[in-house]
Amino acid sequence: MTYDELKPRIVGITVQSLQGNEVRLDSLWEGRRIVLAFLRHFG
Amino acid sequence: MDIKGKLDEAGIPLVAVGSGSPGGARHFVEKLHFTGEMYVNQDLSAYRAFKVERGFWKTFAPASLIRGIQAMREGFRQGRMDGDNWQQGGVFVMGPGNALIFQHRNKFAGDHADLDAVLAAVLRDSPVQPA
Repeated sequence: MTYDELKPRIVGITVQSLQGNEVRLDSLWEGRRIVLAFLRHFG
Repeated sequence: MDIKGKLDEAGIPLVAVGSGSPGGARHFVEKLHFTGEMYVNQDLSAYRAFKVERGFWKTFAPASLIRGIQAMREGFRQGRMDGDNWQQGGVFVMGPGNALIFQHRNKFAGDHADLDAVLAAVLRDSPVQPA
C-alpha cells in the first residue's frame, strides 16, 4: 500500500487517547516520524 | 538495547493503537511499563484503513499455535484479554506528513515484524539523526 492509497482510507478516522480525547489518526505522524504499532489485544 | 531504547535514541516515538477498552489499555501500560503513546480504536476503523488482517483462522492458524506453545515454554502466560479476539496486529513507520516508510501486517498471531527492518526504515532519510 502506498500513502496515496492510504490517504483516502483514513479520512475522518480518529483514535481515543487514554484521557478520552478523540485524536485524528493522521495527526499522529503530522510533522514527525513515528513507529505505529497496531496491537492484537491487551493482556 | 531493546527497540524502544533505540527509538528513544533516534528521537522516534512509539505509538500503539489497541482494539480494547481505555481501561484495558491503562492496565497494559502499567503492567508492561509501556512508555510509548497509547490510543484505542474499539470500532477497528483504523485497523481496516491500514488493511490489518482479521479472522478466526488467523488467530488459530497452525503457525499461531506453534508460536503460542514456544512462547509458553519461554515463560509467557496469557493474561486477561481485552480487545477483538480475531484482530491481528501490524507495524508501520509513518511520516513526517504524507509518508508510509514501512509496513508489516501480521498474517497470523505471532507473525511479528522484523525489528531490524523496522529500525532500518526508521533511520532511512530520518528527519532526526541519532546523536
